[in-house]
Amino acid sequence: MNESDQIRDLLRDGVPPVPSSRSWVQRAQRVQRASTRRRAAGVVVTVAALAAVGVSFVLRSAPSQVATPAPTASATSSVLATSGLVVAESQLIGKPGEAATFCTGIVLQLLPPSCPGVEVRGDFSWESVQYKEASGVRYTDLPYRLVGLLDLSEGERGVFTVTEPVEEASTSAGEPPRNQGALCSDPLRDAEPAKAEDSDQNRLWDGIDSLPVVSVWVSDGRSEFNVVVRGDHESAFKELRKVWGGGLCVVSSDKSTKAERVDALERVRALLPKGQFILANPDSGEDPEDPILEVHVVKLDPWQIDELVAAAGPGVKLRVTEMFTEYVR
Amino acid sequence: MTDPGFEAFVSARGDDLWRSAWLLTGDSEKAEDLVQTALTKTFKKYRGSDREFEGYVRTTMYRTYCSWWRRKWRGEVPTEVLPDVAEDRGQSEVSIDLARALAALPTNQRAVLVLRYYEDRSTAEAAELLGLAEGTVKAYSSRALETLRKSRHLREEKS
Repeated sequence: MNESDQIRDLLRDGVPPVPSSRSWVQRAQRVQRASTRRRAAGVVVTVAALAAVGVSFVLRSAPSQVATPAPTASATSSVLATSGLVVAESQLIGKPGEAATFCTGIVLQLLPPSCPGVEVRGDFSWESVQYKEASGVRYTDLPYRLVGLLDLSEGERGVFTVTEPVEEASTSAGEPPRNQGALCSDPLRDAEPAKAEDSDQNRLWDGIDSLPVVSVWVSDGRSEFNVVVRGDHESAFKELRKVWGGGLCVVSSDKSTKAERVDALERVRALLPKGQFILANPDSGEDPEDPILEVHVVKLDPWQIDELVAAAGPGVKLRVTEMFTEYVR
Repeated sequence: MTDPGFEAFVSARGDDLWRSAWLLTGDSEKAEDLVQTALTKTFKKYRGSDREFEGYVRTTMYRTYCSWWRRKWRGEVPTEVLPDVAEDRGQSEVSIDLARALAALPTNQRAVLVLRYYEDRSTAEAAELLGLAEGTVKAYSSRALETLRKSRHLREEKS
């Protein structure tokens, strides 16, 4: 038995028996109804919130005349202290009798777990959350929603003074699915079914990697490749057709290439103060033909975000999302 | 009024969805939450075609799993020291060992592994479903296998 088959058997044999009592149908219907009502109410709140504080993310291309600053780690310092209330959702970890940590980074899933984060002060007690305890450390499995004042200049990584009652975080709606349809009406133009095997796909990927690619996706779930390239798409199509006989659409675009977005991410990361970076995705956004570099940070001043946008460089769309956002009652 | 077709779909396919969800989460309750969330998000889109709808539910389930774990800042750092996992009553030792071994995988690698080796999806299908580049799926799959290969929890199970 080869290794793949062993893994398949392990996965099949290892799943425990399915629980017998379920009411998924009714719950799905009930939650949907409640969610629809909440969304209807939320539209009003969101419009008011955006008007009051501005959106919590930035989406813009750096203007072409802006010079890219040299990436220096000390270019910015994190001295941010919010004057208004901010809100964030994350897990809490800490020892009884000591200040809890509100995680602002990856939670290491050891027992007990640990994470980098801001020190929690103010109106917080472990009695207000469902926690577990291991080796003298308390931690929440679920994320909690905390509201308060953030001062990143205080303590090792900052202090978050909680001012409102702690709540369990709401269920995320997730990101909207991308529209990843076929880019052309004739993906089988010049196709050769004999050259559409897995080994041919590997050669196709090698070919794609050699091109200035903006983005790539598969539109039929199997073998219909859609490639957006900078420059001459016909030449790119001919090159890829030499090795790939399956579905293929190639179009040209003047949007940023994946390589440019990855380079931009390096520059942006170099500018971020220590402890600010959480996650990044160079292929984000709803439109696969115009991908966005998304960088998720703890909390920045507007001028710091401006620096990041400039550092990303011309043509690269940067979306900076923050863990702590302005709180609107 | 619940669509009887939707009810029949859940009755017929719910167990299979739960099994995939368990492999993703390693925990019975979380698996149920994940299936429930996917069904809640997709419930209104049921149009009578079980096959098409199941694809939609599964896509939603996997993407919800990835976004859940991302939102909770969990699981992006694999570690040599494996975490303890919730041990459901009635779980076999194989299940517990498997859950512990899977817990060492970062979210995306775990999703790729389940899609490729439990659901027998092709690399391209997994890429499409997760919204990742195919090369990335291949890399995740390879890294996930490498991690499981080294897992002390699975050494005895595989031999």
